[in-house]
Amino acid sequence: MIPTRVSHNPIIGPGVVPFGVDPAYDAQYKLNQAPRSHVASHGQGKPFTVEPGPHQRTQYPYVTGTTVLGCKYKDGVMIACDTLCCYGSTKRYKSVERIKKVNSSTIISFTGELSDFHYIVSLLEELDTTDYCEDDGSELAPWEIHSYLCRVMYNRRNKFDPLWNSLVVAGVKHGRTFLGTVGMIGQHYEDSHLAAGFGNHMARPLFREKHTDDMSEEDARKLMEDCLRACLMRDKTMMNKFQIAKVTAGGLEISEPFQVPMNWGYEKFKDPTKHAVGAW
Amino acid sequence: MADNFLSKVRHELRYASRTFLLGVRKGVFTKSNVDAMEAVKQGGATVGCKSKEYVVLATLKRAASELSSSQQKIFRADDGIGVAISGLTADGTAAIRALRQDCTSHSFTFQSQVEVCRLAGRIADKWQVVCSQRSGSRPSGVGLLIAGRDMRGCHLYQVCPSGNLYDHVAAAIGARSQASKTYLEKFQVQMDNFSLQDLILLALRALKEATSEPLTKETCTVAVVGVEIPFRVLNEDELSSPLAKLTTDTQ
Amino acid sequence: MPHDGSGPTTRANWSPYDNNGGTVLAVAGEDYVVCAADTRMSTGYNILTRDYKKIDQMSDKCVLASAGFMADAVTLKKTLKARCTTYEFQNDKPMGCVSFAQMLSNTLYYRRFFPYYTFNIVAGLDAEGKGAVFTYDAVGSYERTNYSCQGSGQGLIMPVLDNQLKTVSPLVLPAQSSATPLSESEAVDLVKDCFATAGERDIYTGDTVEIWIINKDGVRKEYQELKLD
Repeated sequence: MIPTRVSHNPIIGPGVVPFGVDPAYDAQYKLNQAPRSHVASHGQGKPFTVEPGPHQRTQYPYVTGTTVLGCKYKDGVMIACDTLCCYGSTKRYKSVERIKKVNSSTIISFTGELSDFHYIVSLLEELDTTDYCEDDGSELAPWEIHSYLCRVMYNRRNKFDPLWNSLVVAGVKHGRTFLGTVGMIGQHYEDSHLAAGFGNHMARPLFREKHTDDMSEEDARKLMEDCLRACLMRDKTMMNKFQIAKVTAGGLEISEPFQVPMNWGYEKFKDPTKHAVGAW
Repeated sequence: MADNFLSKVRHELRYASRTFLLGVRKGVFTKSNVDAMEAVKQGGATVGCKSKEYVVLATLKRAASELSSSQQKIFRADDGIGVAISGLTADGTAAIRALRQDCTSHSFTFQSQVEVCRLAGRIADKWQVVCSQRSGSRPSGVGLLIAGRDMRGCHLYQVCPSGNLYDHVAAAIGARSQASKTYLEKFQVQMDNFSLQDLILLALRALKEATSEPLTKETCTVAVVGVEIPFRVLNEDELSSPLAKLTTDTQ
Repeated sequence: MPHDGSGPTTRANWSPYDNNGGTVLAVAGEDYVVCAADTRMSTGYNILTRDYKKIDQMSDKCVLASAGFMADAVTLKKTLKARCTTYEFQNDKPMGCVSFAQMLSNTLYYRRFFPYYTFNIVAGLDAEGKGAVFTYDAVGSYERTNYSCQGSGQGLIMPVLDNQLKTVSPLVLPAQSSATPLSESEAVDLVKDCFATAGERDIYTGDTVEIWIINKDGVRKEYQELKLD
C-alpha cells in the first residue's frame, strides 16, 4: 500500500524502516551511514529522524519505575502501580503518571526506563491518530496493541538496542477482557493476574492464593491494595502513592493518587535482633 | 529548483496530451479512468449480497474459447475475507496479491484479521493515487467486490478502478450488471434477515438476470462468508441444490 | 555514576536470550502422530504463566512444537505461518509436512549467527499418510525420526522413549518401517506417562500437558493435568 510517513506503517513495520520505503529516510540514512537515533515523528511527517553522532545503544536504564500489578475481575480488568520514578536509588520523580490511556478501551503501564516508555507511548499515539483519521469508528483492540508492542520490543532486541521496559497492557473490547505483558526482549504472556518487575516475587504468590476471575470489584481492589502493601514493604524503590486504573465494558478510569494504610510500628520491627539472635 | 518544478509540470502536460490520443475506447493500455471503468463493464457479471450474518459472492465463469478452462474470479484473501473480480483478470490477480499481502502482514503484527473497511480503503487509496494520478502507471482495469466479516459484522465493499469505494448491502458489477442490480433492489429490506440458503439463491437469481444462458455448475462460482463461518468457495455438490431451485423458477 | 566502565559493575545488564523452559515431545505411528507439550512458562525460578501453549498448527496436517526462548519461538512460528499462507495462495494446496520440515531447517539456518534459541519438533502426516516426526537443533540440523523429545525434560523422557519404542535398525534388510508399533491410544498413554515422570523431577515442566493427535480424520486435542509445584 502507500507508505504513509509514520513509524507504525504496516509496510514499514513497527520500529523498523527498511530501505526503499521512504526516500527521505533513505537519503538521510545514506548521509549519516546508519541511524544514530530513532525519534518518533510526532506528526512531523517523517517516520524517524536520523541524526548524526556516535552510535549509542541503551546499555543500562537511567530513570526507572518499578512494580506494576494487574488482575482481571468480574466486570473487567484493573492495573495498579505507584507514581515514583527513581534515578538510580534516588527517589527522583514522585508524581509520574505511570498508567497511560491508549484508546477508549486500552490502558498501558510500565516498569523500567521512563524515557523508553515515552517513546513507546508516542508510537501508540501515532496508531491512535491513524484510527482517529480513518474516522470509521474502529480502534485497535487491547490484544492487537499487545501484539504490536511484542513486535516492537522484539525488533529492538534484535538490533541489540532494547527498550528497557516491561509493559502491562489491559483492556476490554468486544466482550473480551484482556490482560497481557511484554518484556524488554519480547517475551510475553497473557494471564488473569500478573506482575511486572519486583512484584513478580512479592505479589504473585498473593494473587495465586486469593485471586479468582469472578471476584467483585471491591474484592479485587482490596486484594490489589494488599499486594501493593506487600511490595511497598520490601521494595525500596517504591513509594506510598499509588494509582489504580480499571477498564470495563463501560469505559476506563484512572484513579487519583492515593495511599494504602501502612504500619511500621509492629513490636517485632522495633528491635529486630531481639527475636532473631545471630541473624545480623 | 524552480526550473525543475517547471520541467516537471511540462512533462506532465505533455504526457496528458499524449494520453488523450491514446485513450481509445475498449483499449486496455490507457491512462483514462473512464476507460478503466469501461473495462470493468466488459468483464463477466459479479454479484454480491449480504444479510446480518452472511455475505455471498457469485460470478459468471466464461471460458475464453472452447479449448480453454475458465479463469478463477473469486479469491480468498484471509480466513474471513474473499474477493470477486470483474474486468481484466490479470489486473485482478495483481490486486489480489496486494490484498493478501496486506492481510498477512497485518496479522503478523497485530495477530488479528484486518478490518474489512480498512483493507478495502487501502486498495482504493492506492488505485486513486498511484494508478490514476501518476505518470507511468495506468488505472487498474478491474472492479472488486470485497466480502468479509470482522468483529463488527459482515461487510460488502465495491472498489472501482477510479479509487471509489462503496459500502453495499448488495452490489453487481460487470457486463449487464444493471439487470442484476434492479433485481437486487427489490429485496433491499428483506435481505437483512435472509438465511444462508436464501441468500445464495438470491445471489444466483440476480446473477441469472445478467446472462441469457442457463446457470450451471460450469458457468458460475459461488462463495460464502459469515460471522460464524470462514470464507470458502462452494463446491459443486453444494451448488446443485440452489441451482435446481433456480431451474424450477423459470418453469 | 561513572559510565566509562571503571566503576563497580553493579548496574543492570541484559542478554538477548532467556530460557523459558518447557518440554515438547512427538511420537509417530503408521497412520497417526501424537505431539505433546506442557504449558508452563518460566524464567529462572519464577513461573510466569501456567497457560502458554507451545504447539501451533502450521498447515493442514502439520504442527510445530517449540521449547526454549518464547519470544523467538513465537516469532519463528509467525514467520513460518505467514510463509505457509503464502504457499497455499500460490500453489492452491496446503504445505506438506515434509516441505514444512525443510523450510523450518532453512529458516533456522538463515539465522546461524544470531540463532533462534528454540528447540523444535515438527509432527505431521506425510504424503502417504504415515506419521512423521522431525527433530531439530537451534541452527537447523534436522532428521526424520519416529519419536523425539526436546526441551528441559529431554534428559528425563528420551531414555523412556528409547526403551519403549525401539527403532528397527537401519541395517536390517529388507528395510522395515520404523514407525512405532503402538496403537494410537497406547501412544497417547505413553506420552502421558512420560510427562507425569518429567513433571515430577523437572521444575520447568508442569501445569498442563496439551496433546495433539493427528490422523486421517483430522486433528484432535487432549489435556492432562500435571502438578502445579
